[in-house]
Formats: sequence, C-alpha cells, structure tokens
Amino acid sequence: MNLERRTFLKLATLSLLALAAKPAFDLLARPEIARALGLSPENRKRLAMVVDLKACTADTGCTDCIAACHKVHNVPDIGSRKEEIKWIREASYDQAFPEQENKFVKEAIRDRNVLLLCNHCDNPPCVRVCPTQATWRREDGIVMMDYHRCIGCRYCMAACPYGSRSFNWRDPRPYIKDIDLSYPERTRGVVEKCNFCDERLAEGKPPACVEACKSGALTFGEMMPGTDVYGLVSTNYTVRRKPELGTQPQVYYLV
Amino acid sequence: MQLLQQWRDSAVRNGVSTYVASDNTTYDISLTGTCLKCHSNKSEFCDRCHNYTGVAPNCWNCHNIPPQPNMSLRGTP
Repeated sequence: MNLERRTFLKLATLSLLALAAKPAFDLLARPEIARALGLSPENRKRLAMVVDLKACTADTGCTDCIAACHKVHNVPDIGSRKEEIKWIREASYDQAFPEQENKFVKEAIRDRNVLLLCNHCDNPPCVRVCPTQATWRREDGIVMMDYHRCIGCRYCMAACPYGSRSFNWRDPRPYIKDIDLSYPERTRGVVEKCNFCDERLAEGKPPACVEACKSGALTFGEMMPGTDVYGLVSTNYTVRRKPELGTQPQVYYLV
Repeated sequence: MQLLQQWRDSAVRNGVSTYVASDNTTYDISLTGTCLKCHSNKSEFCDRCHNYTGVAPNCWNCHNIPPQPNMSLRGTP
C-alpha cells in the first residue's frame, strides 16, 4: 500500500474523530436518554383515535357520528354514489379489512359495520404526491388540507389506500341542507376529507363524532403513556386498516 | 387583502388562530366571524373596490357571508 503522508494523516484524524463520536451516538441510542431529550417517538404529541367495534351501534342504524360530522363541516349530500362526499362513513367488515385472510372470524365481528375515516397516517402517501403542498402532516399528526392551495389534480385520491378523500365534482352549496355559518364550505374542483376536527380542537372541544357518539365507541386523544387512547391500545388487541402498506394509520379498531 | 392572506396562512398553515395586534388586542382569525362582524356590509366593504378594479376573488365560493344588514335602512350604495 502506497500512502502519502498527507492522506495517512487525514485518515488517521477521521478514524480518531469517529472513535470519539461513537460514545455520543451510543448514548443517544439509549431509550431513556432519547426520551429525556424529546427525540423518542413516544415523546411526540400524536393524535389518534380508537374505534371500539364491540361498543359501536352502527348495526342498529345509528349514524349519530356521521350526521354530527357532516353537519358541522357542511358536507353536502349529493345523492349519487359516484359524486358522494364522505368524511366519515360506514362499510362492511370485509370492505374495511380486505387483507384479513381468516375466513372464519368471529361472527359478531364479521357481520359488523365499521366506521371509516381518514387515518391521519404517520407516513401519509397523499402528502407525498401532492404537487402544491395543499395537504401536509402537522406536528401533532393531523393530515391537513388547505383548500386554498388545492388545484384538484386528485393525485392524493389515487395515493390514499383508504379511499378517505372525496372530490367536489360540482358546487356543493345547493346540496347542503342546513349550512353552518361558522365553518366554510368547499368549492367545485377541490378534494376534501376528515381533518380530525382541528377547528374544534383549537377551541378545546373533542371532535364532533366523538362528542356525538352515545355508546362511547370512539376515543380520541394523544397517543402518549397515561392517556385514554394509549391505555386502550396498549392493553387490548387492536387492528388497523392495511398496516402492511407501512403508512402507520392512527385510527385503531378494537375487535 | 395582504392582512387576509397573512391571517389565512397563519390559521390554516401554522395552526395559529389568534392574531395579536400591535396594541396587544387579540382577534380570532375568522373571515366570516371577525372581519365581517365590523365590516358588516359585504357589498360596501368588499364588492365596491373589487367591482371598480374588475377583480373577482373567490373567497365567497367557500366562506359564508353572514346575514347582511337591512339595506333599505342604510341606503343602497
């Protein structure tokens, strides 16, 4: 090996630096240190929702949460499946969890209707594809929409694996029965979806669906040790929709 | 309009829904709730200039116009 003196000195200095830095990296890798410095994922403020399928009374025709959500957000009822606008909706177990390979799930669960809403993923594919950054992930985990910026390209709708987004093919105003003046409507040519009621959270209120649910099937809060949602998720068996895609959805279902 | 855009970015993009003015008065950032509470006549406050300059902002495609004051009492512009 033919090393010049200069190259040798460079390599030797770099190696020494690397050796010196290793203990610092090791220290940061220790969970208790990372937590104290606020680097651990557990320490981040992260909003999540838990849907208790056993408590939910969607099967008996209850649509309280859907009605409440669509009322406060001025969601139009266009009356055609093709142009339907949906923030929160019901679907059969098969449609909600198509990847469940077990054909013989408990009947009580299999025949249930499941509430579906935007999963506010940790790794949201809709955000990645949006060309105008009209949708983005907030620090607290809410995947937000800025209708001012949306150009209606519908890339996000193609990217979302959960079908949580709807496009306004026409002016929704004539289809809103009872307009709530405190919240804006949308216009033709923008995509809309559930926003975890960020406008209500800013006022210190829970999301409209959680408030409207009489059977206590919906729990909402920060995913941090000590909170209700954390307690439910850490002590029960929960499923999430299409977890294999790696989007880290933050709506958990208690089955 | 510049203020409106600052308010929009602050509330929508940064999640800050309160505006603190230079005299420390705080205002809720809301077009329908705050701006049009004082400037309660949209046709005088918004439309007059927009019509004159021939621009058509699309604010009201989504935002709601609060109930307008009785025009007959105020006299139409």
